[in-house]
Amino acid sequence: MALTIETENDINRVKIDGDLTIYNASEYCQIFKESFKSDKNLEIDLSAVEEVDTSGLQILAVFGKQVIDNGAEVSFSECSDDAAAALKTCRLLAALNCE
Amino acid sequence: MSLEDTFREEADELLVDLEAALLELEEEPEDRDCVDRAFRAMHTIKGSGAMFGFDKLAAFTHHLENAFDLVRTGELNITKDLINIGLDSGDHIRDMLEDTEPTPDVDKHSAVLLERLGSLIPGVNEVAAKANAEQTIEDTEKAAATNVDKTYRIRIKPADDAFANGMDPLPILRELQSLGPCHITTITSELPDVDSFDPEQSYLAWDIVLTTDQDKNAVDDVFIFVDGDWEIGIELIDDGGHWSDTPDTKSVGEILVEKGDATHDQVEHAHAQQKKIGEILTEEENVSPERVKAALEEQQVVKKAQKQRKAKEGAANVKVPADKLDTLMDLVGELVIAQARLNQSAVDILDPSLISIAEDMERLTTDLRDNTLGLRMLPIGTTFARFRRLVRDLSNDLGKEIELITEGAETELDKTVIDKLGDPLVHLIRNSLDHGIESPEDRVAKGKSSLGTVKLSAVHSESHVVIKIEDDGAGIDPDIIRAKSIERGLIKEDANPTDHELYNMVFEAGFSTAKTVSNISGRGVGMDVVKRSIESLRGKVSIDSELGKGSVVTVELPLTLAIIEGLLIGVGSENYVLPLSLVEECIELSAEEVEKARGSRLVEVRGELVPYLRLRECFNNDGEAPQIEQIVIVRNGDSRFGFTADEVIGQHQTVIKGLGKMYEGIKGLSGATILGNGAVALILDAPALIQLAVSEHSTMH
Repeated sequence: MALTIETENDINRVKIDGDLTIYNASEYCQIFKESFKSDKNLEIDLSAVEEVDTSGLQILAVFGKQVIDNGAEVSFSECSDDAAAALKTCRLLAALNCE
Repeated sequence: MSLEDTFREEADELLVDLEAALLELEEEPEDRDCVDRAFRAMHTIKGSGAMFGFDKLAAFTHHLENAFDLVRTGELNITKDLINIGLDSGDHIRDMLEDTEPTPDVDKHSAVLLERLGSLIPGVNEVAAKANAEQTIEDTEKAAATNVDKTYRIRIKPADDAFANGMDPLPILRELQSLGPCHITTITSELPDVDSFDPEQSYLAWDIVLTTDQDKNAVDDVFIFVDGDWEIGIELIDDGGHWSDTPDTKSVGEILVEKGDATHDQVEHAHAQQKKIGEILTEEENVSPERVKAALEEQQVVKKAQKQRKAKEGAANVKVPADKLDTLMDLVGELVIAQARLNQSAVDILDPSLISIAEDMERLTTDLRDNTLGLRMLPIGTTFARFRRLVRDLSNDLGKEIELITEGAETELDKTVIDKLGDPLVHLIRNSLDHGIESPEDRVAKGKSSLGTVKLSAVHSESHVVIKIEDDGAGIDPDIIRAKSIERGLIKEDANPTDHELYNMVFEAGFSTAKTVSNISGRGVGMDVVKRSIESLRGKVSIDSELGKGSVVTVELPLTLAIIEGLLIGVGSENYVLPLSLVEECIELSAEEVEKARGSRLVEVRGELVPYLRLRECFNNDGEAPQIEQIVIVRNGDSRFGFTADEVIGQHQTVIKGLGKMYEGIKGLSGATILGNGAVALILDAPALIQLAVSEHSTMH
């Protein structure tokens, strides 16, 4: 598992590799908290995500909301099938205004 | 009615549907809906047929159904041959329905048809050969017992430590989705900000609107492994019942209050402002936008479910024998008369409470009358469907390429009118096909497309329905008509009728201009019969044409035959009724004016001279004409015509009664009605009276 955050101009590019579940939620959350500027647009890449559960989605929701509250935008660049299915079920994209 | 009869009736309707679907398929072979419709019709005929002991019919239909199943799966294409076989099979099924004692011919015919069918489907030949063998029909009649769709409102709020306990709501959501169409809204409003966020705690909640045909147990089962400290709410918000106690969908505000997302006061407060309720609730009352959105979505889902059900219910009609409807209509007619008497008495007695009851009764009677008339209304499309087949078969026989276009099939007419209209329309269409449309070669030579069109349209116009049969064929040559009319002594040689008048000569008895008599039409008996049958429906028919371009036959029919709105007029001690739909205006005619006109029966209305007929003279009424008479001016085609009366009494709901055998054939009267005081008023047939007056006038000169 790995979470990389690249910052380029006004975009935070977040790429997650591996699972996004309760087992590594704390860890991800920590990385997010330390190196994430919520006043920039957030672009999330889930193409390498293997498994997603609700706690994983919740992390995306928390940080995504923060971005939106600061007037920036959230978008998803790429998704693995599993991640896409989970996002669709929860309709998280709608909740983050990026449907 | 026995069960067999019920089945016959049902099957008959299905066959009509099947035929219509097949004919549409012929034009649009790719139309999946039509394939499905045809398939469903066959399927139901087969299923019900087997149930009621029509085994041979069921076995036969089974093969047909199989073939169309192949079409559905794309293994067989719609071809002209297949459509032909389908249509012939439909006819054959109809024969089988009528034969209570199957003859060997029927079996033979079945075998022939199945062989034709088999030749289209590779590998089915053997099956077809065994057509008459016992056929077990293993089928899914379960499909008939489909469950009703119900809509549930589900709220999920997992316990705070759900994740830590290894519980994940996501699979639950997926399972709910598998039950049926599911609208999920994730409520994120409880999420804290980043700093105080604990990734192992659950903050999210879900509002779900699920529409499913499963019962509540199935929905409960989804949550079977969930801990007790989750907040789970499952509410039935639309039970799919036929008689919903909440026929209207709830407002968003009501939904929010019901779900506890907003208080009643908040909603009331928001309602008081002229803005979208959702905006106010989120801006001022701190209701999360997601909650409002969820409520909105719920409203839409319920609305949709109810709409779909309504559409389904619409198709599920109650069948009532036509004679019961006729009895109802008669009773309503009597009621209207009795009501008129009540009105009269109430006015005579001058008792306020009685008058108010009479007024209520009048309103109810009018509503009842309109509703009853509405019950008898059928879309004219039911007859149109017949004509598709007619046009198809006839154009094959005649070797012409003809397309039938129909418009306004949803136009409604009284059932009696529709029943009696079928034959005249068939005749008119045959005429168009046979005499109107030319052969493809002739058409091409004239620079037209080889495909001729016959357009059948129906449209409402005031209290009438206008049906037009238009063709783009050869049209009528006025000179030929003229010659023929002179030959038959219908007009004098020096007469100078307009083209329009000439065209309408074709409605005279024994008139035919067809050079050859075909077995389809052209014997000259017909058009006059058409005219008579349409006139017996109190309708009018006329024809117009342009040589080389085509002809239009216009049939104008009243909406109903039973009750009309009339204008009641009095002459001496007698009363008469004119159909209100014809009346344009009423003007006064003083005795001086009559004198001044020196016997001419013309009155000047705003610069236009209008001829009139004195009803007093026409019916030999007793008594003296008053100083000032009334002229009721009616529309007669393009011109206007007046009838003088002593007084105009007013609008009258007129229940049309026959005149009885003795007076049946009298020209100028279309019936009688009974008034509130028990007196009889004659209903005037204005067009016929006008014609009489005009012809008398011309003989006088």
